[in-house]
Amino acid sequence: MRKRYISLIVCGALAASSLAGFAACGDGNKNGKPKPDAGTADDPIVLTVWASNDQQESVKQMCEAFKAANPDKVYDIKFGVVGESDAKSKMEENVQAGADVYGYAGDQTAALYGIGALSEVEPAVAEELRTRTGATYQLTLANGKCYSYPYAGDNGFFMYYDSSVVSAEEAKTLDGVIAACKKAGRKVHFDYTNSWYALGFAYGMGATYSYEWSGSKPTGFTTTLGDKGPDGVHSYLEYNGQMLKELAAEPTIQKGDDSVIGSSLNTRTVGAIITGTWNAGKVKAGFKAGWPSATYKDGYAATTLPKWKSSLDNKYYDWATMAGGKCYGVNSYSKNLAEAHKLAQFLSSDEMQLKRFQDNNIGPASATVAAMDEVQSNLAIATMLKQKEACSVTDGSKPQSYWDEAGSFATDMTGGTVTDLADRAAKMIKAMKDAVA
Amino acid sequence: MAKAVTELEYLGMSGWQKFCYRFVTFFQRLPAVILNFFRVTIPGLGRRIWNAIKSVFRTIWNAAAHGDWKTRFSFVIFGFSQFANKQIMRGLLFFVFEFLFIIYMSLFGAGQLRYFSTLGEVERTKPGWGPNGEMIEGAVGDHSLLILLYGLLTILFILAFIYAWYASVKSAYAVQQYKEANQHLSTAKEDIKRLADAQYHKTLLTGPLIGLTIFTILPILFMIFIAFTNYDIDHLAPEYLFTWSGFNNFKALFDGSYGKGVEFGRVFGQLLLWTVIWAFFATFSNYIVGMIVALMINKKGIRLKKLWRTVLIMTIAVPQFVSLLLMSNMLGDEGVINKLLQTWGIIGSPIKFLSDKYLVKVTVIVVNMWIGIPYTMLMVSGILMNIPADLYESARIDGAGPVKMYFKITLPYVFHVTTPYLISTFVGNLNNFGVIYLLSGGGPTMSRARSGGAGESDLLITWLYKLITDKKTYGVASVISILMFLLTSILSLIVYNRSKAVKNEEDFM
Repeated sequence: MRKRYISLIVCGALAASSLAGFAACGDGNKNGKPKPDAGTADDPIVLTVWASNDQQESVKQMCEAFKAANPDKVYDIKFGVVGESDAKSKMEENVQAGADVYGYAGDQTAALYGIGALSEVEPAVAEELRTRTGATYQLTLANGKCYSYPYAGDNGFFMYYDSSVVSAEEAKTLDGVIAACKKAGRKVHFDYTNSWYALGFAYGMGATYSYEWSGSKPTGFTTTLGDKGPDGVHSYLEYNGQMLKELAAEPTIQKGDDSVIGSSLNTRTVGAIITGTWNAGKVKAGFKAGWPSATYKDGYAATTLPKWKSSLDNKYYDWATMAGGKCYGVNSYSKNLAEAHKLAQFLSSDEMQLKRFQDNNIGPASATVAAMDEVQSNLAIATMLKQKEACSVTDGSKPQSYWDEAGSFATDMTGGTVTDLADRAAKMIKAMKDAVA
Repeated sequence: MAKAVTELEYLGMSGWQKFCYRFVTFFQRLPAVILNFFRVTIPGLGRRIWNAIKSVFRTIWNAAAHGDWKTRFSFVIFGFSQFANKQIMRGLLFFVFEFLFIIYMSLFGAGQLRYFSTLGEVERTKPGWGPNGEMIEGAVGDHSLLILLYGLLTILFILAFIYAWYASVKSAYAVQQYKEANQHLSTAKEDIKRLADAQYHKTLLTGPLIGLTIFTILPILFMIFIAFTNYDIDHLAPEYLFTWSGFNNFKALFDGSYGKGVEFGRVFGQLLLWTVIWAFFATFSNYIVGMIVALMINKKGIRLKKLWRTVLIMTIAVPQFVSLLLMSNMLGDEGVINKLLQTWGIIGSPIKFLSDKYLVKVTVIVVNMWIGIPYTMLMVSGILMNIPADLYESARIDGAGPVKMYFKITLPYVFHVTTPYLISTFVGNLNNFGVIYLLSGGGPTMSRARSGGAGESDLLITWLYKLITDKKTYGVASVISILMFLLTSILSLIVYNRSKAVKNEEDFM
């Protein structure tokens, strides 16, 4: 006679575990929004805040200030170590377990909105943000509404250079910079196949792009990248592609990520670097007097992006940066939504932006704070803010297909295999459009 | 076409000829093997399944037709017959299971199954702001992912319930027959005792079986189910609903109809080809060069054998990801190697080890040798030391040179022992995520438009990773992993079976 106990035990265990699972998840699955905390000593308002490791201390102090500013309620604020660049992937893992208030990079607004990690900012507050932060406000837009509180406006690229090699005059044009560096046996660092940098020439000439969103879904892509440029023959994108092709062939240009910048600064074999504020400390140390040997002079300098000359019509054009920033978002699954909005608003206030600049050298999003002498005395951040004013294109929300296609275009242009420039450029724009159609 | 050779002719061949002969005949026989699989193996399997089903229904029919009232009552109340015949524990277990199942279904299961056909209907409403600045609360909607998961669990549970029902009926009828034959019915004590003795395998296998179900079978089933949904970046749970989409994901992979601006079919084809090429070269380059190194070290008259071996094994001592990341840095366009070569004036512009679409393929294969050769060397060294020395001695007396001895003695010996290793390495290399991801990251990006960010040196497995983390096309990704599973399993099954046959039919000595 056969025994069936084992199968029964297995089934029983399965039943028990699934029962337990249901008991735990049952109410999360269906309607039944948890009641917000009351804010009394017995039932404090629990909020979780994510901040990167180096901002932990600063953000904790800000939250203490928030508690002090709201003495009528009791808060229990918890902290998680998640940087702005990781916020998206963490939220994608489980948005319902994510922080109530968290910092993130502005170009991820649509993606975060798409998974429900952002909730709308009160329209009146959004209006105030608009006037306070100027252009930066753009980057918080998705769906025509405001979904986040900008607090940093320093994401973009400009040029650092070694003034002992490149003069301020030479730094005004890219060919001047290349010639000066070549003469000194130095390199010019520019990561031209990186899709974030790759299309700056076309945008500098005045090309624009914008995505239309229906919720988190991009439904349309409008761009003037394909419009005819100043010579009436080539499009903006073709100008850009031609420039990429020539840069790739220029031995003085070096490409690579931040680690390459670091290693070329260690030996000071680089004379100019196209990068952003996050590398300021590294560059300053690399261009200081007596580094790496006593004969080297102090040369830390920065300027807005130089003008570049197109070989298509032998004229000089502006060079644009992607300009973005960082924002606080409020998780739409937050149990204490109203309080979370209050905290996010507080954390992105002018005062806190100034404090963030003082504590962590983070460039402010607010025009008022940016204009302060204290901020203007920081060369890298001041240059970035100037670059943003002078020539920039908003680093708004883009679907992954934008990056993929821009990257493919840059790889192809610099690979030396493209014969029909116009065709390749048209293909990129078509692929970008098709991806959201 | 290799013509059939007689046994005598075959034995007269050199090691290489034998190898080539077997290589050719393997592919000649392959159609027959596949045909055999469809003509004999599958019908055979079908017959066995049919017989099993027949016997199940016969048992149920017998119990219904010939059972007494107690047995028939067991059709409705599990374990009734056992209970009535004083097999209390057994009856109780059956009954408790039925009881749990009914509670589960009425409380949760039925609800989960109701939504299973649509994977949820109510979309979430987001919180927002009213015209006067008052907050409008959102409402939680259906969570398609959880509905799918719990629906799957419920289905498994129902299958278990059907099985338990069958077991209960069968056992009830058996109890009746035992009783009629006046045989002894085992008591609970005896049952438990048997679990520690004659039925010990069941006791042992319970744990692994539960683990296997929860951690392997359930996720695999879950993944297969996802392949038939439109779960992707536009339908992310819990914010949005996703639903069944039939074979759309499969279609997308083969006709490129997927509307996300990516030609999945083309990229898949290109990467599949590269994956196979990579697996072939990664496997055999390591194998052959590793064997040569082992032979060189093993050669008589080589001094400091232990030192050479130790030096090579040092590369194993360094964690693989460390050496791969280091290599990746060194080989970059601005890496140490290019810098040094430029400083010495050997090259003008950097060699694009990792950024040229052809060179990167060579680079990853060569760097992979750095990691793989020591393992092959170690293994082959062991085998070489095991080859009886008298074989070589008699060969030498017969006047064989070193090359002849290598092809006649060493290679056949080593090849025989290492065939399973070669197969598993090949299959492992098809899915070698670490080397590619750490070394080139799949780069450079495919230059053609609509490649969706896939890289030239991406294997299917690293592409899968990109599809899931960057693009979130879970449906298509599931299809690809199903195809990869089929590819690797069929390949290993065929080759394993064949290699065993080859082993049996010929004795190398």
